[in-house]
Amino acid sequence: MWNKPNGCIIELPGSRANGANVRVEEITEYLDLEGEQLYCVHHLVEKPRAQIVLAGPFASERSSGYIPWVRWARFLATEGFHATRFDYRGVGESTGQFREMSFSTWVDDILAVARRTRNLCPGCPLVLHGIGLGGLLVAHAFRSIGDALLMWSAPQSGADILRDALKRQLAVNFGQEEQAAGPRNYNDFVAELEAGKGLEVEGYRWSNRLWKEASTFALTEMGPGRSGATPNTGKPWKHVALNQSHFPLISGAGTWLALSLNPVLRKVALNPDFQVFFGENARWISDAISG
Amino acid sequence: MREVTQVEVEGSRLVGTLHWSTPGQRQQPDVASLRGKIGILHGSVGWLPRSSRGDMAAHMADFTAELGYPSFRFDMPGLGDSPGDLPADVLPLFELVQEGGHVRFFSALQTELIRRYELSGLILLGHCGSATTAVYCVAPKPPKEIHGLILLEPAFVWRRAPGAPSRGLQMGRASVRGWLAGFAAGKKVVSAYLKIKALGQRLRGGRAPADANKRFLACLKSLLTNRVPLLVITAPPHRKLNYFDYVRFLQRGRTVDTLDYIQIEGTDHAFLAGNGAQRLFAEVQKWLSNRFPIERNEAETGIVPSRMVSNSDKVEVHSMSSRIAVV
Repeated sequence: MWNKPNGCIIELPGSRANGANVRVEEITEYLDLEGEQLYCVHHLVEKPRAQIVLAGPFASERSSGYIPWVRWARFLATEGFHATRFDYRGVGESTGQFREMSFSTWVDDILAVARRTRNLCPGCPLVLHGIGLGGLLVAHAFRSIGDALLMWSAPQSGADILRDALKRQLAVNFGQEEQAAGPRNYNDFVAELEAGKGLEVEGYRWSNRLWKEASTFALTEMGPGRSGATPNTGKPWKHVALNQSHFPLISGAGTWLALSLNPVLRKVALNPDFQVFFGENARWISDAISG
Repeated sequence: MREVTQVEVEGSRLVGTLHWSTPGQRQQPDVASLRGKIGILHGSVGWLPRSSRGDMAAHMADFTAELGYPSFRFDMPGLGDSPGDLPADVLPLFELVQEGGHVRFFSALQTELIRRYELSGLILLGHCGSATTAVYCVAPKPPKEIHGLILLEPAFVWRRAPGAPSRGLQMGRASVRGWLAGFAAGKKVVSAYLKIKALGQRLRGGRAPADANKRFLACLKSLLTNRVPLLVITAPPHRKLNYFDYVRFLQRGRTVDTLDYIQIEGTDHAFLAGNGAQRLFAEVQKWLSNRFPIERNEAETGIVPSRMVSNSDKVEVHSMSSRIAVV
């Protein structure tokens, strides 16, 4: 059962040489998935060249990079692509308890969104695209579906994501005036998770299942800065390594912003101009689906 | 349950989420099911999407909906999923909000939601910048459809205020405080500094600091004078730049029993640290039950709000007097 989608038409400045505005239909909806509501936003254009499913970063990284991520989806629409963003179950606007979710459930989310997206434009090439954790997950989903794969700074494994998040939580804890009771260092965190106890990290309740699954999700032979084609099917893929110039899309941006005492005084990027970067990636997608 | 919704106000399309509770049912709400209820309109935080950090705002709206108050969260223009323009950097956005740049959207939202869902009224809930927006929207006296305000971490300095310290001095102070906060003894120094600063303020005859948001102060005062039900919840101030406690500043002499001011120890601005969210929800539930109780059939809901917070939950709250003085 789908919730009734809501939509509107917006006009976005065209990125093509003629500079004409592009009419984009933005539809928000919930997909019913195993009793939970999966939040999706579709950016649709007439006669799309391809469909792109955008898989976002790990939960605690979602909010800091949200503005450029949305801008990227709209940019893709102006380039003639259907772009679909979504929130993983247990995260953001999707329902579900985070502590009950894990990497495998989020791969299922990607597959569900991809199937929904395919229904919007049957026969269109489908590109899977992810940033951070999303990159790792789409790489797994790519074994089942998709015609091309684009990753931005996917970690080598899920364990890397969790390890970085634990370190950030330590940094935040250290800045608190009063240290809360409970785990006080990295080893304490790991011990809690290994013992099967839940752990609150950056506002999300981690489970032992999440911790255990993390190391089983690994990126093999698709390291950052590389591109190629899958050995069996010859489908194109590319892995872009983000750097400081891509702030706030990079990992840890949220913690930096939260710990920074004076964002009101520093020049902190809110809506940086990524037109060149977006253009490069859109061109790769265009070449990948036409090749 | 959640439903996405979009509202066109003031020439902008705002994307939002409606939270409601109809136990045993999974259909979308219709007007009849929400008619006559008091809704809660949640404002967003800073530049964040409407779910906020740790999805705290989404969980809170689920919570208040379960209590029987249909709850709404919207992204302001350019933020989250709402189309619109934004400045390149954070500071201009902060200043836009501090100067009331979101007021017309938030006010128009209130009118539209009350009309569309035939609500009896709204409680406005703001966090950080949206708390400022909420206060501006309804001061000096809200329309009868606005029943009260919940303000989370409403403290805000106005960097460009006349007489504010120079940018260099502000950055210098912030840098020193940031360095001090990096070790245990330094944190004590910062706390002591804030206490001395507050004492100095009182000795100076209680004048607000030069960079205080005077408009916000005046609007807050008018709401207290007009006895608008207010719940103000804050976190400890130790990491805040040029922190100024607006509510405590207004606490001089007289008391107002329509104000409840709570400081939750051991948490942070986002109420994520130290189980802050759960303690925050408990305080909100208590206030709603006291101020705006809902007559509900327990068999209908299966939930009695007063039992949602068990006695074993330790709400380590340093509560100031619920009566506050107004100058």
